[in-house]
Amino acid sequence: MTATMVGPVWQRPHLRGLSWVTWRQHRIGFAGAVAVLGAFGILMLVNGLAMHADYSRLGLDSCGSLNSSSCRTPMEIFSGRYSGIAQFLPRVLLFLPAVLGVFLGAPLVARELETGTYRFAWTQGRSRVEWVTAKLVLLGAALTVLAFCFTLLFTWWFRPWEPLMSRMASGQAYEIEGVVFAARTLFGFTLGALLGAMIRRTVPAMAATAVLWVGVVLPSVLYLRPHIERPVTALANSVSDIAPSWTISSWVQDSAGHRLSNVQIDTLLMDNRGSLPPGVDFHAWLAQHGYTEWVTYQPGSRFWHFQTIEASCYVVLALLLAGATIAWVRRRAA
Amino acid sequence: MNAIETRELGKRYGRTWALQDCTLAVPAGRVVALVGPNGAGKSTLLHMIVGLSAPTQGDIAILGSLAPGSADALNRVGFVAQDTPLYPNLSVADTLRLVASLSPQWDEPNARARLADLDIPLSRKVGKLSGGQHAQVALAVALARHPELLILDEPVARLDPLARHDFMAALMAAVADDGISVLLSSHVVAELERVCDYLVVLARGRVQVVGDVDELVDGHRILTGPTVEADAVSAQLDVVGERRADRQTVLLVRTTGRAAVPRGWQEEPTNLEELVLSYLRAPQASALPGPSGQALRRVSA
Repeated sequence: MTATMVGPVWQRPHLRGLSWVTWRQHRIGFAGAVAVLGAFGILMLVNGLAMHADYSRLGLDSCGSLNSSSCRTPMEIFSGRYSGIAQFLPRVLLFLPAVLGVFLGAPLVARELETGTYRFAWTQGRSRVEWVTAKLVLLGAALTVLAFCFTLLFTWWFRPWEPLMSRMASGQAYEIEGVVFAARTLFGFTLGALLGAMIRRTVPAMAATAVLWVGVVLPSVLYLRPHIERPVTALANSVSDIAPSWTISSWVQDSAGHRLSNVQIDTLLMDNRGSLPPGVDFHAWLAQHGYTEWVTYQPGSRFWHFQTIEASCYVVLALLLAGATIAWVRRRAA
Repeated sequence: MNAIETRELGKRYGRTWALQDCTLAVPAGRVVALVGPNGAGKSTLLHMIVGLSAPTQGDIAILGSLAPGSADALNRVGFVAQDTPLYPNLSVADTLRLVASLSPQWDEPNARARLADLDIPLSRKVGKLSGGQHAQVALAVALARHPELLILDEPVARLDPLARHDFMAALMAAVADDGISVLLSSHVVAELERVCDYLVVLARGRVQVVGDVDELVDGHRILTGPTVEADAVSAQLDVVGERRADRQTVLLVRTTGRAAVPRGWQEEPTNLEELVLSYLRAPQASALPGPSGQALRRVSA
C-alpha cells in the first residue's frame, strides 16, 4: 500500500496589502534596528551571565543585608568588577530610542518625497493617508515591541544592582527599565516621521530628529522628573532605603532651623578641622553640635508611578505626532 | 462623458502661479497631448489631476464626477510620473507585487506577459534596468491596473529614440486594445503627431490651445509668399505665426472657412508640430473653444 504522509505543513505567514508593502520597504531598516539593539543585547548577555555567576559565587545572594559586614568584602570585589559598566551602559543606551527614530522615522516619508517615489507609491490605488497610517502603525508597533524586549533583557542584566543603585535617578537604569524606553522609542519614531514629512529631505530630517529628541528627553529627565511627585523630605540619617532612592537635594540646618549655605558649611569645616577628634567624621561632628542634615528624595517605591506617568506623556506625544504626520501627508506633502 | 474637466483651476507656489485660470474639458476615449515648454505648468496640472497636489483655486472632475485622489479616482486612474519613479532597490517581481498589494484591480498575467514580451527579467533590480526598460516597467505596471484614464508625465523625455519608439508603440497597442483615455504631457512635439488626437497647449501657466488635432490642423494653413507683400497680406488674415527671410515669408494663418489665397502666394496644409511651435512662439495668440462649440477665437493680450 502506498500512502502519502500529509502532515500539517508550516506556511510562511503571508502578508498582504499594505502590510507586505511596509515589510518589503522597511525590512532592512528594521533589521538594522534589531542589529543595533542585538549588539548591545549580546554584550549584556555575555556580561550578565558572568556577573550573575560572580554574584552567587561571592555569596552575595546569601550573605544577608548587602550593607552588613559579612557582605562588605565580596561586595567590594563585585563592585570593582562590574559597577563601571552598570553605571556607564545606561547612559549610552538612553540614546538608543533617538537612534531608532533617526534611522527609521525620519526617512519614512522624507525619502519618498526626496526621491520622487511618492508619485508612484501614492497613485496606485491606496490613498496616501492609508499608506502612511499603515506604515506608522505597523512599524511603530514593531519598534515599540522590539524596544520593550530590550528593556526586559536589560532588567535581567541589571538585577544584581537593583538594591544597590538608584532605580530612579537620571541617566541610570530608570531610562532603560519599565516602560519609558519603549515609549521614547515610539516618540522618536513618530517625531522622525513628522519632521521627515515636513522637511522633505532625509538627512536634514534625521539631524532635526536627533536634536529635537534630545531637546525634549534630556530636559524632561533632568528637570521635570524630580517634580512628577513632591519629593519626601527627611533627616538624612533616618532614611534606610536611600540606595535605591533618588536624592534630589540635601542641606544642613543649624539648631535654630536656618539653612546653611555652602560657604557657611565650608567655613565650619575649615574652622573646626583641627578640633575634629580622630575617628569622628564631619557628619557626626555636625550632629554633636546641634546641626541636622536633611535630604529630599524620591523613594524607589515610586518607580512604577513615575514610569507610568512619564511613559504616558511620551505615548500621548507620539500619538499627536503620528496624527500630525498623517494630516500633513494628506494636506501638504505633495 | 469627459475624462477630465477643470474649471478656473489655479495652483500657486509661494507667490508664483504655476498654473492659472485653466478651464478644460477633455473628452473620454481620446489620446490627449499636453504640450508646453518646460515650466509651463504641465506637471502641476497632472499632479492635481491624479490627486497628488490640491488646487489653490478652481475645481477638477475626473471620469465624469470623481474627485482627484478619492478612492474611486485612484482605482480608475493610472499615473506614470516624470522620470518614471520606481524603487531602484526592488526587483521587477517585487515591484509588481508592490503594485498588486496597493491596487484593487490588478492583472498579474497581463503585467507578466508585457514584461516577457520585452525580455525584462523579473529578478533584476529596477535600479539595474536600462532607461528604456525602466520606463517600460512603469508603463506595464500602470497598464496592468486597467485604468480608464492613464496620465503620463513626460514619459519618454529621457529615452533614446529607439526606446522612445518602443514605449510609444507599447502605449498605443494598449490604447487600441483597451480603449482607455490617455493624457500625455511632453515638450517634444514630433513624437506626438502619430499618436495623439487631441491637443492642449500650456504656456506660462495658462491654456493657449485646446482642440481636436484634425480640426486644429484643418483650421490652419501655411501661406508662402514674397516678403515685400507680407505686411499687406498679414493685415487681412488671422496670422498666428510667421517666419520672414529676405525674399520669402512663411505665415501660419487661421482659416475659418475658405479664405482666398492672395495672388503670388502658395497655400499648404500645416502639421501639428508646426502649429504647436507657432503658438508657442506667439504666446499672445490662442485657440480655445468659444461659447459656440468649436469656433476658434483670437484673444490678444
